[in-house]
Amino acid sequence: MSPDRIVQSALLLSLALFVVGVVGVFLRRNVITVFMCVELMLNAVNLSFVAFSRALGTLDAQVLVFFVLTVAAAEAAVGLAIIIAIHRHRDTLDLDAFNLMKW
Amino acid sequence: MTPPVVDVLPAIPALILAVTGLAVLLAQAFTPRGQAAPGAPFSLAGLLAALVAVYLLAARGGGDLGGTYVVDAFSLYFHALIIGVGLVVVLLSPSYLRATGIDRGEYYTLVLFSLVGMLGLVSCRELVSLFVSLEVMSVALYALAGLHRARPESQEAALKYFITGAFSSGFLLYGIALLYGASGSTSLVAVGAALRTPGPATAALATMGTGLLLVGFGFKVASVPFHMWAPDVYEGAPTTITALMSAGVKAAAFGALLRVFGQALPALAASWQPAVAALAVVTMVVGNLGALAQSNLKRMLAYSSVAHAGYLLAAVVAAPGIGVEAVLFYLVAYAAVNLGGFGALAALARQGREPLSLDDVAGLASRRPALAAALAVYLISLTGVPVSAGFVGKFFLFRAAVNAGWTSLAVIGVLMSVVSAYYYLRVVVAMYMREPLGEDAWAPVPPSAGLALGLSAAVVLALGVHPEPVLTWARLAARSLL
Repeated sequence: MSPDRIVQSALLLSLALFVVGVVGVFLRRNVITVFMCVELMLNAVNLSFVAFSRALGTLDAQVLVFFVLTVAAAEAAVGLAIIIAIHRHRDTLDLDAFNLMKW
Repeated sequence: MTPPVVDVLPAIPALILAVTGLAVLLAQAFTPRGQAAPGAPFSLAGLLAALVAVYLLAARGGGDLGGTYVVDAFSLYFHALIIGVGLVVVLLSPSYLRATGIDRGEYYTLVLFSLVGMLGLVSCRELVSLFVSLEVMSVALYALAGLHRARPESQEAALKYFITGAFSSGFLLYGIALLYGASGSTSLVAVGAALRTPGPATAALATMGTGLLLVGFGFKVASVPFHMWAPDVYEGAPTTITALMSAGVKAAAFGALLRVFGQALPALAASWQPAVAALAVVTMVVGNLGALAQSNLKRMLAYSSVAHAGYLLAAVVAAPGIGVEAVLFYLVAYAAVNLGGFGALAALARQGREPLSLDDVAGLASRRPALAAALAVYLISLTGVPVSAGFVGKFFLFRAAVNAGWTSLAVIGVLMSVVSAYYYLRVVVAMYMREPLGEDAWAPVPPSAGLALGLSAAVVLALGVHPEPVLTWARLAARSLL
């Protein structure tokens, strides 16, 4: 495949992964699965950063990917802590069960 | 190869806050188990030092940090506002934390870290630092929203805030990726320059990227239809944190929004202005109608904060010009009013019980006249009655919309303000016209919270009577964006 084709395919794949993530957030009811869908969205964006970086011949976006990975790790640490805390209290991870206040 | 010389002075206010946060955390580690470290005095000292640093930076004329972090008049304006918000929140906190049993050192650390994120957000000149600052602010706030571990509502708030926050970050990041793809740079100015002469492919990418950024920012400023998290999170989070979110996060998010749309995307104004106008209309309408239906005062103020995002967006439509200074001025008025409103509710908390219904504040004026008067001032300002900051602020917002040719936005804004009078003044009526139900259930207002509430009320009245100094400063700040 020519380099242009590779970049184009990577961008399309990234779009598809992002959409899968978004749809998953709306359709899945388990908090952990929803969180994994959010992570899928972030990593889909990482793929397009790398693809754009290759197409443009600059390295900025590849550095950006490391920032995104680090931030996602920090977010996962806090997010999983929140999920564990709520699971201890409620014994469920079903989003529909968290309705003390209406969404 | 010599390493580039980086002038770190512009980042000193943020660094002071970050170091203070670490110091509080360390102090907590050396405090005996079960006791709280003196987080509030530490934080106050740090915030005051940061304020002095901002003043010195302003005297020096700002500066920038390696092209990613810029301290110009716009940043300085927001620095002062955000640090001021931090001061008020820290003054409100000790008594509230004791009353609700969550008095722990990490509270102040997280508040300071989120303030660092806000400072970064308004100073970013580049999309990477925008994303990182946004996350620094948000991650600290996710934890803060759930700090009240014994209260299921607080946990639920943290979870909902975390899920929607992380979800919206994904959109924002995708928007950044597409703008980078369209322009080949992440610097706001370079993106702006590249988009002035776009090819057909770049134009499509840039428009999509702008749309995704708008969705991301829409979540952060709680504009309809991306607002569904706001009432739940504002209601469930500890009340002082709700104050921080409604005043600080909103200011920082609007600051970043103005900077990105003003510096990187003016070339696309024709495509984003109608979208922002549509968001403004639905936000004003849904926010105000939602607030009408609430009986819980905290939730009512949460919907009111959604509605105010709509008023602010109405002026963002006029952003490249007069809109910016109107938004900047209104953010100060709005921050003072919301800190006061949520702060007054926090000051009423006593021993695990938070009086939050209309009946709970009935007759407040006869028992706590000063607190009732302050709360009345905030509510009147939220309505936009003359001689309050809210009136002057709304006047400038709607005038900006009219001048930019969006008269319909101003008309809807004024109509919705009239609707809002019902739910704001209902509280004033309950406080002044009704008899208290039962025994004296309100805690005495602690001195530090009293000082914070008095300060907010003074700012509200001062801006209403004499808006000129802040307005001049806002104008200066707006000009540095061009």
